[in-house]
Amino acid sequence: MAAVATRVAEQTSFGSRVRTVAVRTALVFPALVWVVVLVLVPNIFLLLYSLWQNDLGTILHHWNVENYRTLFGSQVFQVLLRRTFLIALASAGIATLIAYPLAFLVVRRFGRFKTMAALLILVPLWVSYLMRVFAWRIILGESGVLNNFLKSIGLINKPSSAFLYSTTTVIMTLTYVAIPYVFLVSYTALERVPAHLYEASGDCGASPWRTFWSVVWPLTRPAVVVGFAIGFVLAFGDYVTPSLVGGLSGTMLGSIVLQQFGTANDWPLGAAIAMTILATGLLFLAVVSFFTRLEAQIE
Amino acid sequence: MKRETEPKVDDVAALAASPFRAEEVLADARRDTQQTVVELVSVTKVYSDGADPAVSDLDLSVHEGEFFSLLGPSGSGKTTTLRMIAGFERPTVGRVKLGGSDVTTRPPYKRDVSTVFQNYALFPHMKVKDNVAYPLKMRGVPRKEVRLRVNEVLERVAMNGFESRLPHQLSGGQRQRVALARALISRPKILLLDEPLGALDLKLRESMLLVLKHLQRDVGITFLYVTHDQSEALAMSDRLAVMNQGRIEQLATPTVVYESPATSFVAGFIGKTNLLECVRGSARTARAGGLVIRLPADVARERFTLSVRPEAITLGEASRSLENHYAATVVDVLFLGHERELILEVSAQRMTARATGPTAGVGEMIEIGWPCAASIVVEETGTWQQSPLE
Repeated sequence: MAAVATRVAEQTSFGSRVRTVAVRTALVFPALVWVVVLVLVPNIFLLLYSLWQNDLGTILHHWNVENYRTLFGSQVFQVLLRRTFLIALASAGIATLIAYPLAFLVVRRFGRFKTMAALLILVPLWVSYLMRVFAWRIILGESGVLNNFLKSIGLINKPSSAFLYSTTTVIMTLTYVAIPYVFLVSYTALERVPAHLYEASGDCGASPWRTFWSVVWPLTRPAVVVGFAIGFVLAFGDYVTPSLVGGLSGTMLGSIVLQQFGTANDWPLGAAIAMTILATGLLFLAVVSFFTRLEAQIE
Repeated sequence: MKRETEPKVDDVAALAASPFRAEEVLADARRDTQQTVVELVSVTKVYSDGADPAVSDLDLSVHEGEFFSLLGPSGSGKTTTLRMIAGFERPTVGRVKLGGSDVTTRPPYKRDVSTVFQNYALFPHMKVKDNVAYPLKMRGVPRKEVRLRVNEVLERVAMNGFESRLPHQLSGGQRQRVALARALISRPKILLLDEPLGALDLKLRESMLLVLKHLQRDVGITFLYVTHDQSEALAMSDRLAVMNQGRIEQLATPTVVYESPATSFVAGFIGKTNLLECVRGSARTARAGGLVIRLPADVARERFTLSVRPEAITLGEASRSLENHYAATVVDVLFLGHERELILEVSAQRMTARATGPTAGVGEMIEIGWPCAASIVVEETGTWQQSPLE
């Protein structure tokens, strides 16, 4: 006993504790640098800019919240904020409604082909984001695939511009963009639910429908929520999709951030909009994280 | 075991007078009138085209209230058989009947069977009480009754007090008992157990064996038990089927399977035995190499296999009075704690015998012998009599 006590004392002595802390810090250091330099510092600058003032293209270092007051007093900004939020919500929601059942189908029904099927669904991620969005212009544009097809079957006599440049187009494109991400997360989660749990549930008298709702859904819901949140955040801050397929009625917050930093040359106002996007995104993630808790451990 | 102690009587009157025999006859009669709860009719299962069938042309019936075991090495088709009864697999050919009605195409959730899975398969996100209550909830049992029955069944497996734990907060043995409770709570006609003790350590396994045995006696549910452990199967079963390569090699009571194995596979798989390939000699004798062995009865076949259990072999001077008596050389001695296992050589035949105390050392000569009743002729159903022996 005494020998054990000495050994315990030795290993928990001040010196050895310092050593442990030093080793841990050294191991975390690269990740820490990465987070600070690439995530924290730029965002702090953004925050500072949003609290400064624009004076004909030069920045006055006057501390105030004038930019935010201007923003929230503006009718246009409020409309855009609401629209952006709804578009992001809708596209992430629809993407989840498509991707999760798709992942379920692939995991449960594709047998040994499931990895291949999953890869095929993820293939769009290999193509540049810009190209993926542009593809929708080719499909929906006035001389696009859809118009040509409808003309050839005689449904319309002259090309319609109704398909492109609308809120619906933006939602559709953003949904398309989000699907692979939500799919990837859902697939991983569903893959982790072992087959014998489905069997055990059926054995207990549960129909496949009830098995899904009382076993599979509770075990995969956290992952689905994470997938949904990824889709939401991707859509919420996007400016490429609205500028390529959105038109005027498809304008989102991201577009005016680009505008402020670009043509308008009003960095402080742009920074204030960006901060609003960031804050909304974080708030949304905080709310959503309440639904991602899972105490269970799947072995 | 009972059979060994009872007197050998053929007279009908004496038979009725013997309490042991009468009991057994009664049990047999009861079994005949009892319903068959599970019936497999020439069932074959092929997993993929061209592969060997996992189960081929299997016929099996399990009676109500009995403890029935499927025993065999891995890949013998015992788990596939169980899964077809549970409904997780559909037979390629043949019918599955439960309680007399054909359920071959019925999904698992519409069958009145419960399964205890080898890996427990508890729902990881549900507390113990919710796991156990699950089958009742699926059947729409009122909440009040559910609570009562959960308490009752948890008490039965000595798991009350753990109601609010999650599965990952339990030990292996505890999870096993919760799985058992979940399977029992809906009072199924038949309980299927797929190597339920496979993942437990030896000590726990022994105590769970007793739990299971008592449970089966108390609740009176038919148990269909799948295992590769012959001692488990012998200890627990009323009847057992020894499976090999998708077929049943022998279906009988543990005593019969142990004492008169039908094939050399069964003889070798159930306990340790000495298998001697023999040629029929003159009246009631067999020749195995240079060894002449006396048999209890005449054998019709020209070539056959003899099984002699190691524990039937007597060592030393005591063996002189036995019908089969030889001189052997000790090749090796294995110390097993409660006994010693001797590897012997008897005129070029390797044999194994058991001794409780110290005997001759390696390389020394020893007298061995066994009564002629201990030489069991194994009736071959296929394999080796077709292949030339010489």
